[in-house]
Amino acid sequence: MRHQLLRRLSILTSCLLVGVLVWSPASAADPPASVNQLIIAMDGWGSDLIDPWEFAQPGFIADYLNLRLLTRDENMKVQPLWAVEWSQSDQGIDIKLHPKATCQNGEKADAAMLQKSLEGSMGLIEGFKGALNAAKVKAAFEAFEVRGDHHLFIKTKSPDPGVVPIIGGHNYHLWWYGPAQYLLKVGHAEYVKNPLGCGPYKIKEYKPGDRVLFERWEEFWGDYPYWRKPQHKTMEWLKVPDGAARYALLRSKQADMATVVPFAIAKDLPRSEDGKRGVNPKKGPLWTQTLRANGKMQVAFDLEMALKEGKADPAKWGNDPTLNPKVREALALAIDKQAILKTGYGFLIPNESIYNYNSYGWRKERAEQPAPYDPQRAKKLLAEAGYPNGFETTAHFAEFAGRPNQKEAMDIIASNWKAIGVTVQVVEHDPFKYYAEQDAGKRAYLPINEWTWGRQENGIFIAQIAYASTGFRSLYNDKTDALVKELSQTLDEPKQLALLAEIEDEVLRNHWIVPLYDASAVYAYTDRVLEHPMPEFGAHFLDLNRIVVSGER
Amino acid sequence: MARSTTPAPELVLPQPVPAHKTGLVAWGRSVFRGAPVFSLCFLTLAVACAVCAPLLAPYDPIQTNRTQTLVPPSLSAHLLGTDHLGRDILSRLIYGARISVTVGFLAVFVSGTVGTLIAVVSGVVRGWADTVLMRLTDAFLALPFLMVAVLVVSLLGPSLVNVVLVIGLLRWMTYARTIRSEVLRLTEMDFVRLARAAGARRRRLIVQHILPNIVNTLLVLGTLEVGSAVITEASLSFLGLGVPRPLPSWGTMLAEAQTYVFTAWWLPVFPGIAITLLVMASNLIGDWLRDRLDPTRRQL
Amino acid sequence: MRGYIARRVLQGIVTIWLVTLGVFSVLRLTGDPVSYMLPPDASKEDRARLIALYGFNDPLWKQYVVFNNNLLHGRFGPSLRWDSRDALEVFLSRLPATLALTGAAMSFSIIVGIVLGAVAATRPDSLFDRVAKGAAILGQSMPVFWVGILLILLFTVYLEWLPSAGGLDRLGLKGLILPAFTLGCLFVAAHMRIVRSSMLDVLDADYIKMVRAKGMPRRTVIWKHALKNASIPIFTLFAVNFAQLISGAVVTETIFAWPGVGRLLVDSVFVRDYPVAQTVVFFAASFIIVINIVVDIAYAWLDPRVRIAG
Repeated sequence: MRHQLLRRLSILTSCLLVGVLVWSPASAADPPASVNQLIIAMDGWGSDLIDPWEFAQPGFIADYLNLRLLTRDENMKVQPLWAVEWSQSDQGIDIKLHPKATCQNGEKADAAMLQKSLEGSMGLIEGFKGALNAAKVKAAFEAFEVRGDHHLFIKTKSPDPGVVPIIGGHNYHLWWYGPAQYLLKVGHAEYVKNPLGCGPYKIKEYKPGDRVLFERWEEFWGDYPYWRKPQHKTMEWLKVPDGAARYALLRSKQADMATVVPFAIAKDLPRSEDGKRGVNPKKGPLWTQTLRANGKMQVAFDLEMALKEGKADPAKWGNDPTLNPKVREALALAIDKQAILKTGYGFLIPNESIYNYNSYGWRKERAEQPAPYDPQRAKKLLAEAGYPNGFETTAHFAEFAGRPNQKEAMDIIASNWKAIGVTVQVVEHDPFKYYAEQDAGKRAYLPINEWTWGRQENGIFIAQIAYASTGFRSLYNDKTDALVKELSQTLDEPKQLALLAEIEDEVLRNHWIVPLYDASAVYAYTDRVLEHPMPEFGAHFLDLNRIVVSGER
Repeated sequence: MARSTTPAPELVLPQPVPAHKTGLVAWGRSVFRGAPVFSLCFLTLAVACAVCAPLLAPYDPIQTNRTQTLVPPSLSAHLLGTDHLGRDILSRLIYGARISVTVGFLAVFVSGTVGTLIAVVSGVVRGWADTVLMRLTDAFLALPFLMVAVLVVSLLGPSLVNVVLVIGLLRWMTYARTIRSEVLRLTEMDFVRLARAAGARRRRLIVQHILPNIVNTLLVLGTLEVGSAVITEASLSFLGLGVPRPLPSWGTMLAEAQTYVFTAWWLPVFPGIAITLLVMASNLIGDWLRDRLDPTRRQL
Repeated sequence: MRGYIARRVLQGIVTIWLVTLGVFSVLRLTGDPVSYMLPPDASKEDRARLIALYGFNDPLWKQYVVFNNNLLHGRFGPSLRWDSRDALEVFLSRLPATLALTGAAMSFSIIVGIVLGAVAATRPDSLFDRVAKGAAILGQSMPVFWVGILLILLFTVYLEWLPSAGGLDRLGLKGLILPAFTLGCLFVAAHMRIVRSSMLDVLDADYIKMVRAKGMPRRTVIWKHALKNASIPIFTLFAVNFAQLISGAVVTETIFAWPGVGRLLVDSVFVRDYPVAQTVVFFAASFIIVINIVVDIAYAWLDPRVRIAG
């Protein structure tokens, strides 16, 4: 009898022990369902303009306050947000919205609201200036048809695949959607004082240029794994432009996360990519996650296109050496890209494509070829082109915020070209005026230009924008002209990809563009942050609502 | 503020005494009495670096070297280490002295000339000219330096000359005010009044009587202002409005080094020390000159 | 005397107007804000549309007339960068932060200057005197942003004693310490010099010896007279160096992410947010000019010759 009791007791005890051992780490590891605060030190959040019908510049605030139709998850797949289904045919764009979508003032986010919002963004509503690219969208749309409470059909004039990237919101910060009735009622000035949205956060306090305090909207309707009520009740953004100061805030635990940490500092911190990406590797008080290929850098020879457009004076520029394709090839061959990559401590990605790494239109085999580097052959080409002793020229660039290492790259390029006899004077410009001045021909023409690009997920967008002679050029001769026109009329995906490939081949064959690298952005966190699921390749949305922390601040 | 009516004390240098009488050392001692030795030495060093940079610098200051980035200071190869592009810091400091010294002296020259011109016209001509010029001075004093800097750099582009121009335009007011009050004081003095009464023409008046007597003040102010000019250049570089790349000015070295403060301390520390020492030298020498040239003057 | 005051005030108004004209021209001559408001890949249509909406294609004289008219009515315009918030509102909301910073910096600098100057005066040319002078000049010679970053490195990162970014709202007085110290260093030297020399004057003066002979406590007399002696030069120094204080504040506010008007000026000038930049410069310039007028009037009262000359 006693024997049996003892045995049962010991079995019970061991079961309990095992149970406790198995349970407690798990329960200790379960992060709380709700915490009070999350503080982020940011280099900047883009535009301070939060009215969705008056967007002059892309910004992050709207990502958390307002609605987008679509988004991308951490595997870069396009996913539904406000729009649960969409498709485009030759007749138009068909959109089906989430039936539960509402706004923070109770307004229903239905098809009627989408139509009104689109009209507002197109600048068709009095009192609002409209969003970016309004003209292009206006030119593409013919009429709206409300086919159900949550079903909108937009009749288009032609099947242009470049419109959805603008209105969809899954490629870049472009168009957002807010409570239309509220906007119409209070007007722009009032909206700015008391902003309301339909997204997961409300704005509690806002000091433009300094600090934003978001508050979780408790009745948020979204229930996607990638877009739903956040764990933190309040999220605070501090604007700290200086990289070293940002890092200091993180180190001293005044912030939980710092965006765009300078490479020199980030290289010594534990990387989550060594274990599971986006998860705290628990190797110290700080850890990082890299948003890869966030920006793009390339050298461009603009003169040919400028002469074609009559922007450069042929008398002065008609005989410039960079007009000779052999010279361009020589200059391309002389650049030591490995040296440039090394200045980035592993955060710069080699990319021999004119499209962003891993975006639509990017071809892996082409992009990952080793960059040609042959200064001897370059000298030979120069001699063949008629410049055995080299020549003198100028190169221009402007350092855009968040696009690192341009200065270093230009220094190295200048020294590389000097070695083959080409003396280049590097001129730095004010980034804000860089393209506007070029456009207006205010500057004596640039034979060499360093482009930078923010990340675009869609090569179609790049091709169309670059062709339309905005700040970006060098995708332009009669052949590319025809290719881009064809691209703007086709909805067939294989055909689009084939056209994008042809455009790229033509551009690179002529050496109008020399891709240098894609630059990554590094985000650093304190130990309090457990995980931050984010796409490997930046889609600009930061997914801050998905951050999971271990406890109260 | 004591206002005397005796003529301004002139700088009295001891007459060169034949060497066999007292010796060069004794002469040197009396001229440089109380001089801040370290400051003078440092200033000489800076000027020497500026002039003889190619001879003194061990490496090429703009040559990048991708295998030698962020090397800490060591006695073997790079005395002060290398920067993030593999450029030798010591060489950059030496060539940078060229820029800082040039900017310092040129800016002082520009602002000193403009300021003196305005002060003399203001003080001698008086009347409307004086009022207008003084209000112009006020207006410039009231303009934040950032505006002037942005204006010049935007319109004319970044270059060494433009930086000198910016600093020159920002600092002439100090000269204008101080020298104007000197001129006013001088014109009230007997010897000037007498000259005027005797019918001396204005220009003669200025050249013969006024200018020689403001040289001291100008000298003192100029020396002090070299320091300000160097700091202003550094601030302009910090804000991105300074001397263009790849010229190695101390200010741009500091600005570029900002991100490396935590990992490569030698990048920001040495240029900062250089700037500080140059400015200190100019302040201490200026103070000494002021004491030396007019010990009765109230310090302000 | 009254005539002088009236003349001086009138001249001051003219000067302020000159400054605003200067700022207006500078901003418009060096680039239009639309270039700053749009991303580089913006289309020509977007650009043209915004320019027309804001009226930047109006002739310059017309824009100036509108600007002047608004100024006379006290309207500074809606901010271009910050979503049409009134520029004056934006400026006033950030002014307290700068006032706190400069006030703290100046107080710190004056107090330290008084202490160092007084002690140095009692021991002229001693080791203490020379070290104090040296330290003060050191503070004046180091670039502000260098000092700031080194302090952050020491106190925020290594010692973790003090916060480095935020402003009064978020951090309270603790957040004021590092920025005020950084900015105050610039002026300690000057204040120390003034206090020291006025102390030395007082210590030397005959009447001190006389009063001492009568039995009055040395300390009271010295302090009272020395401080009185020093107050005018300190005030003059403040007036003369106010512009330097503002430019120092600009750099300090940038490093410490202090939400004041210095940073506001930098941000708005760089993006050509005309109304806000104009507002900040208008108030800063007016303040400087007012101080100068006050100083001039004070001097005129003390020395009649100045009245005639100016």
